[in-house]
Amino acid sequence: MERSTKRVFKNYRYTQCDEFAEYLKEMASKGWHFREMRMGLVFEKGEPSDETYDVQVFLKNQESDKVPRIETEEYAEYCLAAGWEMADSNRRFVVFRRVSEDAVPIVTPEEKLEAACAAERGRVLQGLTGTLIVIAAYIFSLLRIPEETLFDPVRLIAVLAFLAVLARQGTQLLLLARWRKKKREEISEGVTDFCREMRGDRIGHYVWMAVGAALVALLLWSMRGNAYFWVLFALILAGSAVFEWLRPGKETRGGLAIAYGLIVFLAIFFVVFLNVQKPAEAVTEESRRQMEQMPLKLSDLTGEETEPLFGDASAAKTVFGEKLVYRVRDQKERELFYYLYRVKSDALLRSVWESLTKESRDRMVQAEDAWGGAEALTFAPGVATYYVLYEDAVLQMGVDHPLSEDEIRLVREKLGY
Amino acid sequence: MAREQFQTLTEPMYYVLLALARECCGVDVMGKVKAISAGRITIGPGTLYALLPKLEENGMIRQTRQEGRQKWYVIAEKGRQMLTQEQERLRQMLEDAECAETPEQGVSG
Repeated sequence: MERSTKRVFKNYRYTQCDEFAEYLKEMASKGWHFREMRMGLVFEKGEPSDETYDVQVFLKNQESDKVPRIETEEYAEYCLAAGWEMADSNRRFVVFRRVSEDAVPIVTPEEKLEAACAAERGRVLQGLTGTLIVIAAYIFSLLRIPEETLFDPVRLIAVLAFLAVLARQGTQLLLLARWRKKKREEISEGVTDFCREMRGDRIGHYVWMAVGAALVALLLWSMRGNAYFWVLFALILAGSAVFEWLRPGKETRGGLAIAYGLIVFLAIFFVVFLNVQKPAEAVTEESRRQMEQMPLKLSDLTGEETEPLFGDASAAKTVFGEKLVYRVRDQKERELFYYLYRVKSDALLRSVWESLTKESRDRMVQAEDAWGGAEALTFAPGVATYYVLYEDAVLQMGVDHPLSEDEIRLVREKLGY
Repeated sequence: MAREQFQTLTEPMYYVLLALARECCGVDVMGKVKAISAGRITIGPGTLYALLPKLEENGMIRQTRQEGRQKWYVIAEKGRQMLTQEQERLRQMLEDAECAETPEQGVSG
């Protein structure tokens, strides 16, 4: 059976409204008549005809609008009186179909150019604000908890992705300024059909798509074992699709957003609940494998291999350095935990050291010289927690008993310091 | 709103003010302008829709009533003064041009 409607996933910028109108005309000439913008462009099958469209950028609409506002309807009445019928409106686009032979242009070329530029600039700046917030959050996290942030590949990939987005947004603003200048000259020469793709933007678009896709793929791969992330990811995708499909008006949007927030909350609660309900495995196979690869193990200090009661280990690496985590308690209640931060830059090494020790600095005393680092601190005698600053690493370690000088030497030997 | 924008009137502003010498529905202004200018001037609906609130904001016109989404406007005293000033300016320009073209003045002969 022949389809009566067709959905085309085409995305136009505000600076391409003439190209957009031309595409709708072309589709009408093939018998596909534009109906609406709902998750793409929707066309209805009919007789091929010569239709003329005008795609306007209406600045009283907001980027988040999915349906015409009262002002859009009012604007459409003016346009109807001039021979243009509104076909649909979504975001700041308003699509008009010519219904009168003597219809006059809706706006002057200068007005069209300024509206397109203002809307496009607004769209990019809105995105740019979000990007800067994410990057600022990373920098804040880097300054506040460098020991967590520096060695987290997921955060690093995410911030790299957002830096790529920032570069893209900056380029778009520059291209837009250049485009506006050029189009003003064209308008002064009498050109009226000028809202078309910016030169250089297509190559930028493809490069951006490739970089973006690679970073997103990397990010998704790095989060493959994180159930919370996948639940959130699926919900965000589904939520966006539902919003695009339902196209809620200004009045219903708030309610829908609250309902959506509630669903997200319940879903996360459900995942957390399931996780809590799941019987905890003392030592997973993955942890056991990781523990085996660690340079220093509990058995090195106790001199015997015992089954761990609890334990985990991990190694994370980024361009900034490496972080080893080892936490084990055995059947005899003997315990060893350590975090070893190997950092390539002196400044970053110092920031990790400061971050780890700043809060309890005034309660700490000099640890045994046997540690051999530039600085070695511990709490009062009897509390076996140590912080040692080496030339290219920071060691944070806790054991079930204060270490003797021989044990300290063994630790250093195993860790390579 | 920049006051400078309204120190002299643009052609669309001038004709919109003329059209609103009598109360008129906003949508009908386009037709009235076309009629007044004998088809020489056409104002696009988008241009008019943006212009009316600007003129109202600057006290050149005022809204008289609203029925549904339709709004009626009429020229205000300030708009009338601007119109008179503009007509005077245009008259003066025309006179200046006529004087400049007189052969005795030695400009164009």
